[in-house]
Amino acid sequence: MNANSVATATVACVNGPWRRLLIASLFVLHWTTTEGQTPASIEIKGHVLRNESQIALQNVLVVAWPSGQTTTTNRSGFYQILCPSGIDSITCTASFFQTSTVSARGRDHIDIWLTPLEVEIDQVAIETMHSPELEAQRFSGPDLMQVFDHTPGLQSLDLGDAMVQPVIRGLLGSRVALLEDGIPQQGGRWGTDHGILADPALYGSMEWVPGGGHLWMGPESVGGGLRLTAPKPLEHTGSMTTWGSSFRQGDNRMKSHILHAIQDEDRFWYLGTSGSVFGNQNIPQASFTYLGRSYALTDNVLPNTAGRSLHGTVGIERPTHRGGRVESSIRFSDVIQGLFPGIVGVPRQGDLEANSRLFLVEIPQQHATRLQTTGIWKTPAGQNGSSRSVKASVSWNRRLELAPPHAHGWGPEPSSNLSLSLEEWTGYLESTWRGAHGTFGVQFEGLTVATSGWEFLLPSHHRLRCSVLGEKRIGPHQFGVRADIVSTAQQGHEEPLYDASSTVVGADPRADHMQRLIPGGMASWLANIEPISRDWTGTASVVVYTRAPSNYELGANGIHHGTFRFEKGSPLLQSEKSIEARFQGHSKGSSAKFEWRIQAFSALHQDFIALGPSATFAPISHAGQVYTFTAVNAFRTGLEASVSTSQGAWLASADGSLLGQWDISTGLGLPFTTPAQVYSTIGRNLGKNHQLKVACRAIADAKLTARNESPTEGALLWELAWSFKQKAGTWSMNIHNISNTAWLDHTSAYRALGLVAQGRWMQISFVTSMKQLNKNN
Amino acid sequence: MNFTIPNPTIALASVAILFSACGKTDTEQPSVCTEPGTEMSVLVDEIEALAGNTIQITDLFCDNEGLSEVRWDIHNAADHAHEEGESDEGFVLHSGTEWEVLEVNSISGTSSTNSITLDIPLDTRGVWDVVVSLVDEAGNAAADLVTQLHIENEYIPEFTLTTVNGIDPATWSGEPLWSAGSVIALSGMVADSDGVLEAHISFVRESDETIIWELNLEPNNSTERSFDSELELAADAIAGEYHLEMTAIDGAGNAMETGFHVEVE
Repeated sequence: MNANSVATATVACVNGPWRRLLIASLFVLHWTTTEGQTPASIEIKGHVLRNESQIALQNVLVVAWPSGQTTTTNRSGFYQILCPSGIDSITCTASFFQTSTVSARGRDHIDIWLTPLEVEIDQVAIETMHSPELEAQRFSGPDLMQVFDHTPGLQSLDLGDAMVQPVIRGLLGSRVALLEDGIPQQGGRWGTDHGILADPALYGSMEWVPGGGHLWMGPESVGGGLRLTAPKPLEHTGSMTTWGSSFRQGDNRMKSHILHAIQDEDRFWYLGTSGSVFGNQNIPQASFTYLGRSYALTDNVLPNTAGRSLHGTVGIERPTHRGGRVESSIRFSDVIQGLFPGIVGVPRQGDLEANSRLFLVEIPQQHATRLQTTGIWKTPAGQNGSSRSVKASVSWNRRLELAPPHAHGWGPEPSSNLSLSLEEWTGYLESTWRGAHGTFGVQFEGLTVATSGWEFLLPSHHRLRCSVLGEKRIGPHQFGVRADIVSTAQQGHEEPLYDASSTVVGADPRADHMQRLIPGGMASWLANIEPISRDWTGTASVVVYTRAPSNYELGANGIHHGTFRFEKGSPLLQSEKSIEARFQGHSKGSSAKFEWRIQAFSALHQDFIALGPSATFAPISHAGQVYTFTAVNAFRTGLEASVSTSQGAWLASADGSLLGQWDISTGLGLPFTTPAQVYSTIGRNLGKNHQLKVACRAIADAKLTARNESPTEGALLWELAWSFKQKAGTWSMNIHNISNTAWLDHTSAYRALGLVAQGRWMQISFVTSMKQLNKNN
Repeated sequence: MNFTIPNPTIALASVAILFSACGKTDTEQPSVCTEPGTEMSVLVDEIEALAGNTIQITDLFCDNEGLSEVRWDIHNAADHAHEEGESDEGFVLHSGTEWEVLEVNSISGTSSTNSITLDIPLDTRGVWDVVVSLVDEAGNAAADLVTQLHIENEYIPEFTLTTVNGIDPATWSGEPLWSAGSVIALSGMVADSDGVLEAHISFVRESDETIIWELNLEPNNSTERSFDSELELAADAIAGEYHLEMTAIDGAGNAMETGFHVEVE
């Protein structure tokens, strides 16, 4: 029986005022029933997060339709919105993110992921972070060495312009993760002389993450990690070509790059290449001493440190039929770096004469090549907010070390120049499931390495890592956990043993066959800090993590020319176990007089694998002491701070870092501990798009040294930078080490020979972008 | 969440004090503590020796806690620059340069005497470096000590190069540089008390061991044979490293080989 029937029947039985009252009551009843049949208030709640991560987005504008009710997300990305007339859809809008509208479809909980944009204003790209790590920081620059040395917490360790190793908080090699679109770059990076193969000009963005135990970066992130990301789709359809050239007086380096990108309605692709060629490094040093002998360095150059590099990349990104995205890319690198002749033993004076041919690279030299293919597939966010992605990559890497043939001890002289070859095939697979409140995934990483050459260093080996990962956000807290299992094996290797008359008298075993299964993992807690004053924000985290020994640490047994030492590993080494606490804070808001950032860490490491001198000499000539990989307990702590301000046309900034690393049992420092330094700049805008800056890099004495490591005197280095932006492009001039100061770089491989770092150079460069974009689209 | 960030300088200084106060380790380097004035010691400026003889170099090594190993490394010093302040040996034509000795001996205690006995080969002549390296039980390494072993030889023929293009080679600094197409005048002498049976001078390209010029001195068993020769470098001579080699055999059958590196541009 409905209300109308009731009303009719009632009217039939009542007369007079009671009849009027009843009719009024029936109207009220009818109106109420009618309102009940129309939609009542609807409330929807949920989270707004950054795409491909669990990072909550704060202050996102949320609009409910058709009512137009608005709200904003809180620090946890949470929103709650009520519409009296119902909600058909939700629109989320945030600066530097694509606006997204999602159908409500009767749901009361909707989580929304927003995709970051790269927005171009004039020729300045306002870029957002791509790393899932909240502690990630953007860095940029055309030159890796300069970028690393100017960023507090980072340092470069190089044997020349083409061979640069990043040092993060004093650690390098297999303790620094390097990811390209989330995929690790390998290629024998365990060697201090084995630089990374990357040119900043061919990436869309570069970020670094300090500290260890980051969930998605793999077990190698102990000092930290670098994330290099491919160019991202343009905001509008059309094309954009960026090219640049530079010339550097000093080592006569010429460098060029070009990167072309096309954005169709739904497809984005890019193609780029870069190359550089450079001569011997100019140094303010005319002689050096080795074993008490004095050698002349003619023309103030470090002989045979010339080289060249070539990089290329091509990639495509397009949507799938179901609204997801597919990306694929190919990367190629080929670099040759000449090495100072003194690294292969006592040099002849004749070997140190500067070559008349400017860019000629003789032996000894290192030649590194790699080819990598990558594929990434992502689904759109589903109705329940989940999404999935799969990454896969295969790469081939080869490092060749060429040196004048020589025999160590007795035995015939080799017949080729190939002292060491490392040929590596690497595969990577990652599958991830993302939800609004948690993410989990699996990673598989495998590599197989074949070693050869007359200078045995480590045997052929292979390695496979399987990891299961998960993370969850609860309010301002983020928890992560990863379980790893590493399976590794190496081949045995022996060489003939000769007597003084070059007769074989036995066998010299250099490596035993080994097979191991090494478990590990990490667990982390991170808290977002949002003080009431809201003028700064930050994070605090505590992480426990392990790192399995690298195959270099397990199986090395020979002379490493790149480090001028005989190095010996141990197959019995256990995983490093670490606990680390970190804090990071930075100012917020553009109205502040000063912008600042501070980050600090402390870490305790058990079974930290350190390379240190043993009490024995290598049984072969000019090899010195045997350096062994041994497990020690270590403590590390450090601080980086930055502050910047601008007053009218003036700008000023200061970036400083402090680091301490100790072997707890001896109280000595760990090798290559970066000395404290401050990089200060003061600049002035001379006009529109015209800027002049003076900078000073003050490096403290490096007194925290490992056993047999010499302390290094500090230095004061002055720089000048000028830039002028025109419509056609940007001109810039940089002068490094204006006073041509002779200084020893504590983290340089050549410091052990008493060779100073590069002297004064002046670089002129021009960079431009040509755009044909349809901004109506 | 409220944080009080401690003064980072104080924090780091505290840690430094903590680690300097505990975990003390031996950082003192071992040393050579041979009594000054000892003749056959690595501490002398030069050790004289005669080819065919046996010499023994002995030194006393010391350490505050415990010695571990001493390494004796003897190798030819040809083409090595001179130490600053070192007396000039003049132009030295080395022979038997392949002779080298590498010996590692275990030593222990806070002081230990160790020796190396060298049987000087009959075909050696010139200057050798004697490099002594020392390490203690903790792994501290002393700076290498170097002295020169000057070997004279009365057995094998001896070449003397008086002038090259009119210039005394003792005045050379570094490796000589010759131009393709040039003519190099060589003046000198080969001598042996037993008479020189054969003597040759050749110019060898090091990259492929090709002999591009050769001269037979025809000594005819004389005890001294002077020469004034001209080495003609072809105009199309390949630039690079070359070696001027001088070989001889004396009447007693003792053979020798000497020479020096040259760069051709």
